[in-house]
Amino acid sequence: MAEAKSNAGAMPGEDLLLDYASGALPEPVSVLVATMLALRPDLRQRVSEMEAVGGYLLEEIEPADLSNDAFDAVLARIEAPGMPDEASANNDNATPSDAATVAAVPEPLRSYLGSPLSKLAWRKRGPGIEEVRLPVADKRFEMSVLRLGPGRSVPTHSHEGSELTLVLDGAFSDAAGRYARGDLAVNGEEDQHAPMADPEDGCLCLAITGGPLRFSNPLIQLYDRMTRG
Amino acid sequence: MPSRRSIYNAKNVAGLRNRPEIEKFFPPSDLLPSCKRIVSVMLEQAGLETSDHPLESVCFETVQPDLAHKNMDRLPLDMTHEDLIEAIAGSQDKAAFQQLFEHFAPRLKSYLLRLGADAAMAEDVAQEAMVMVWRKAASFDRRQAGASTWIFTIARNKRIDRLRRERRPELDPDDPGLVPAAEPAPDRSLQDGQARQRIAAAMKALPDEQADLVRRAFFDDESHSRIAEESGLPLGTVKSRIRLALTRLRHEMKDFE
Repeated sequence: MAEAKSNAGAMPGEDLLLDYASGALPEPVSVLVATMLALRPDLRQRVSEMEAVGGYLLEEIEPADLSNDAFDAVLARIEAPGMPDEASANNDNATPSDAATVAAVPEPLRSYLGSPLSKLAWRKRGPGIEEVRLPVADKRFEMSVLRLGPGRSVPTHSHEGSELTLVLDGAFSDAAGRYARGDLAVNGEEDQHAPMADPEDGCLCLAITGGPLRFSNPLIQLYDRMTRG
Repeated sequence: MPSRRSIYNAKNVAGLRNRPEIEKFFPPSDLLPSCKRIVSVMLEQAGLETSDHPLESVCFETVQPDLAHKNMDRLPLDMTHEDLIEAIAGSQDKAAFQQLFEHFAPRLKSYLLRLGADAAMAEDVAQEAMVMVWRKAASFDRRQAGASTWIFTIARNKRIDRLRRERRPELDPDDPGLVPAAEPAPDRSLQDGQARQRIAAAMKALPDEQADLVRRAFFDDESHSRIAEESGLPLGTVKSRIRLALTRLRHEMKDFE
């Protein structure tokens, strides 16, 4: 792991962690970061340090005047009967899952999948490459789970906006290094890369792009248009 | 068996060191008959108290719940915010909640205003966040985070929920799919005050420009792009400066450990 991370560049996602801690990230990117945190205790520690800075800044801020009846209004709200309790309502509608899915995909991503990995509607995106698009409300983003067979690679591509790739299981390598479970690859718009899955384990990853992937090879572009329909 | 509420009040009483303080907190004319004897014991003890014979030990055994009710609105100020949240969790303590509200609600409103909410929305979301503080008090764990950090995260999520109308995906600490830490997280309860002082000192040690960037990273909605616009720096430069400020902050915080 340590070697893999140093190859992949130290902490490509530091800004993302700060944006997650401060609450600035749009939902799809938040899903990715929270899922990465579930896989990475070291980064959870970083985020809780950042949140402590947020707590400190809240202490330091100049207080604003509240309306006179603010406390009474809040008391009335907490005393109102039959209010749904968010704290306990959260875990009640767990998504159907199985052991293999739980082992590979932690929350919150697992809830976004909607069903176990084996029951998802995988679409072939090339030899040994399968994809499931996950619904996102924020149309600026596309979120997919990608599955690459052992030794398979995604053809050289670039993309509109940046691409974030979080490894959920297995590993992949590209020119920048090797990415294992819990590692994040960040590629800018101008970057062209051709990730290749681990020759033994293949790779399962979550990818978010700011726009559809653009393949550099014209034949693949054609294939891409055909398979996307 | 005294209720938790009475124990917690007794703990406060233990902070009162002498007769005038105790009489101010429990005016004899206000006391229910059943409490008079207790207070007289306390008064006696206050005269004798030394560090190895704390008043608290007497109060634990003897204070009755009705004494607590009689003095609901007169909590002494030496309870920490963490104590207050635990009092809410343990016994739906409204006096503790009010004290917490008076401290945090105006700050939450200010935080929301700075993030671009109008006055009515800022007030409403601040109130909702405080309602969540009440409801979620039982899940507060001072070993994980201090009170201000915990309340900050509640308000942050509430803002996303209300102002951006988005979900805030969070990891589930009880998820069997979560990779646990190799060693347990440091117990922050032992060092909560120190942690706050450490951050304060670290922020003060930062050059003004860097401290300002850290503040704006938390108080600007549109990530780093707006900071870039307002400061006239290219986005990449802003990001690298924020990163530098955070690294330095982290380094400073470590120095105090």
